[in-house]
Amino acid sequence: MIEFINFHLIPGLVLGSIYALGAIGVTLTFGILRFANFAHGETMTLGVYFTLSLIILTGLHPLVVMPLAMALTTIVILGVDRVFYKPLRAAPTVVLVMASFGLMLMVRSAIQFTWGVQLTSLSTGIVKPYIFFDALRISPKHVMIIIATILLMLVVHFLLTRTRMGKAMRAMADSPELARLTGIDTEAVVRMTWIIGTCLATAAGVFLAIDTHVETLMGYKLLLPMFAAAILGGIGRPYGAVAGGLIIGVVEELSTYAWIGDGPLLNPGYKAGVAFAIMVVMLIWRPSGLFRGRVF
Amino acid sequence: MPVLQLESVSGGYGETEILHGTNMVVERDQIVTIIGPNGAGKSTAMKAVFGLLNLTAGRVLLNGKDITNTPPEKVVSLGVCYVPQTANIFPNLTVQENLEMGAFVRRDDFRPRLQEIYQMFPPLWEKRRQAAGTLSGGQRQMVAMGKALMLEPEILLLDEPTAGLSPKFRGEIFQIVKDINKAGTPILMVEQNAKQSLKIADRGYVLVDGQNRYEGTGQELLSDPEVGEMFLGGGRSAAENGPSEERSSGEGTP
Amino acid sequence: MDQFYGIFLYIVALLTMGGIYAILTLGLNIQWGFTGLFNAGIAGFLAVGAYTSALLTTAASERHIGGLEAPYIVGLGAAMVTSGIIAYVIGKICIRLRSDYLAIATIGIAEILRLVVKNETWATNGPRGVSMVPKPFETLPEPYNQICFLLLILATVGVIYLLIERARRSPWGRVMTAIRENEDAARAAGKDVERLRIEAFVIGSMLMGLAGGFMAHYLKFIGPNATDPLTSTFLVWVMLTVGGSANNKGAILGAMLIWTVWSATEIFTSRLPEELAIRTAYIRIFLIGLLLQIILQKFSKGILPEQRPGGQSTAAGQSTLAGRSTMAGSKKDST
Repeated sequence: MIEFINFHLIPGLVLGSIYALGAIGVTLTFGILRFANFAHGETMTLGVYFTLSLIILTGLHPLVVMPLAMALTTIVILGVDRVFYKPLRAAPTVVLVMASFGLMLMVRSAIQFTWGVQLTSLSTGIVKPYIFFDALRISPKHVMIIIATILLMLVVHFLLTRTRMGKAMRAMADSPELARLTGIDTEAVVRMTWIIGTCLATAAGVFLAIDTHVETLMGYKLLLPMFAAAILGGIGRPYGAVAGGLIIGVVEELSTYAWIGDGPLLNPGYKAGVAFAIMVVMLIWRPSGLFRGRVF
Repeated sequence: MPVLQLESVSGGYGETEILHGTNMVVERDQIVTIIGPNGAGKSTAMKAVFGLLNLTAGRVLLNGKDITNTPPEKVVSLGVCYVPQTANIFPNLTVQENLEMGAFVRRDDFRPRLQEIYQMFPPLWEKRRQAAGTLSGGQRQMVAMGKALMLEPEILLLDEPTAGLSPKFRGEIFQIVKDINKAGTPILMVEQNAKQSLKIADRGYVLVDGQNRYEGTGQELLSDPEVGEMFLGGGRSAAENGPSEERSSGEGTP
Repeated sequence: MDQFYGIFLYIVALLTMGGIYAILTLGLNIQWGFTGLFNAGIAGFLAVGAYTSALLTTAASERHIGGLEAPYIVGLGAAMVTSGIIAYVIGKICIRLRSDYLAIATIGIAEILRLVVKNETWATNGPRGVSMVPKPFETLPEPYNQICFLLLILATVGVIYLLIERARRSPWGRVMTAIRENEDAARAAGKDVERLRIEAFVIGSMLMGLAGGFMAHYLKFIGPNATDPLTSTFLVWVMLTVGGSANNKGAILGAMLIWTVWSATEIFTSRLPEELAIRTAYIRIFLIGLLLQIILQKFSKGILPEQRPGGQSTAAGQSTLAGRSTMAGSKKDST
């Protein structure tokens, strides 16, 4: 039982937190800009590499330089929006999907060109896990990731429910046409959406890098779980995305637990397929997601 | 000087022209109502004011200032508020958040105004923390109007505010419109319930095929036998009958 | 003389791969160009076709299943059938939703297929892939084997082109256009929009499977990373948009053109010093991505714009994108 918690439940929650942070950006873009952003994984990767460079430059802890990396990534993404998405604002959304598909490869190849493709890591050395009640082992980095995720989510909650721009974002997710008729500055809302999505993606990427390692495909590998989490939670529903992310993260880890017999229930090689399976089930059963988001 | 003036406005969506030289004037403190058969361009005339369609000719003047073809977000900041017929609230935002969004372009402290709105629409105060989408049709309409009033607009445009409401709520909404007007906001509205709306209107326009057919005070139009026969379903519900339609289309512009 | 012979062989190889990509692009044109369906998992259908045909036609081996030494026609036919079945299942689930969902689902299925191929070593020989795949005409002497294979591909492209052109002018094709232009009107006219869309999706995917089969035979090898899945999907998209979406000639032209640019730049970059060569390879992908963005923004019609069945070239210029907006729009309203 304790092995179950140590090796499946806690890693599942950590992974779920990372998915959740990424999925908030996906769901906000989908809800407000109305397209599935295929380049969101690459945003994540970019954030990680900025963090990596800043660590090399300053020698500081990843979490210390992360805000600066967030700012740098946001600048890049706002530039991308200005140059590549803004001219297509009036175009059918599927054209935007295609543009984001192209950007996925552009951003990735730019990263590969700049930083190379070799595997690296953000942190050095192995830290002993905290041990509670003689058996419950949690590594400090997992504690840190979970706490930081909770803090970030509180910030997002505050932004969306207490600030003028946050409410305007939710309004625009509800009805972009009415938002415009109401006089809401829709371009400012779009910028805010990119800023929040990018900062959270950077955080998610850095947490993943702290937990595992740094590589140029790390963001892309998270794309499917993030989409799945967004659809599971309901498009345009940030809280749904959080719930969806946590569920998918935990289910992925639990799927490899030896529920029956000694071997893992599911070949670990197929972990990534779990998210997809959940997504397909949702699309058949309830495309609006758990939190009744929009269905397009 | 009138608050709002449409000077022989023509235009439509894309290639199709719907308005052909429509004229309209809204004076300060007036309720002006636009009636007419379906497809006559009533809502389109309103959208013309709001910069939602491309005008090919004519001018729209707000307090004497030309606002022709100004984009809607800009028109709002000039003090024109528009309540569409459908999808006029943010269903997932609370009632209060809806009202706050109405004040988006205001950079000053709008809390006093919020209190005024709640006094005007007491049911909204009780439900201020509830998602607006969960409210009844009449209350949604209150949210929509309240949201528009948050700006203390120069003029309020209402597109069929009573559409789809039961007779009881309809009366209530017309009363609210009257109250809003009494509190100092000029109103231009499009209505299907022509009789009731003319009763509260200072001025009415009958629009047919994108052109003014009749105009006058609410009373004048109500007592005009021709208008009554054709557009108010008076007499022998002639509006649906062929002969009168032929006659009306034969008459040309007044 | 030797140099000319080398160039000649290079051109044959270029046209062969270009032709295989033309089959892929024609498949995508049915899905996207004529029907407005976004397939982001082209590489998945390509892989299904490649593995199916390869496993059926190779000699028996302990490393993988199959090895039936079946005739090519059986292998390629099976490649089309398996791709078609997978497409049908995805279509059934996603086609009633907006195209974004189909895009996500197709990229997902492509990833899952890659996982299956990698993990089920007993069936597919895992990451080492299936080698010794037979190649048509390989018993003929050089260069006739290459030329014959090229002719086979070109003939296939020609036949597919003629069939699609015919379908496009048929009542079926006209209904497809009608759906794309005004879905609600088509629905009101009693057309089973969902079924027609699934049909288009399945037929397009079958062509992709066929192209995959040809690719396996041509390269004599298929592995999970034989082609970078995303790059190949993406290349096909660029080919179609450059050539002219909803125009079959444009699809073929785009495939040939982009494949030439793609492989020509590879020759250039591979001659650079190693460190630089690896890096410039990424610039290549970046630039091709940039090309797509420029086309989307400035030349959305592509080189050869859409031709209406029956009508000469039309005001179709705007329709390539604008036609789709009505579809997206009407879907949006029905939430």
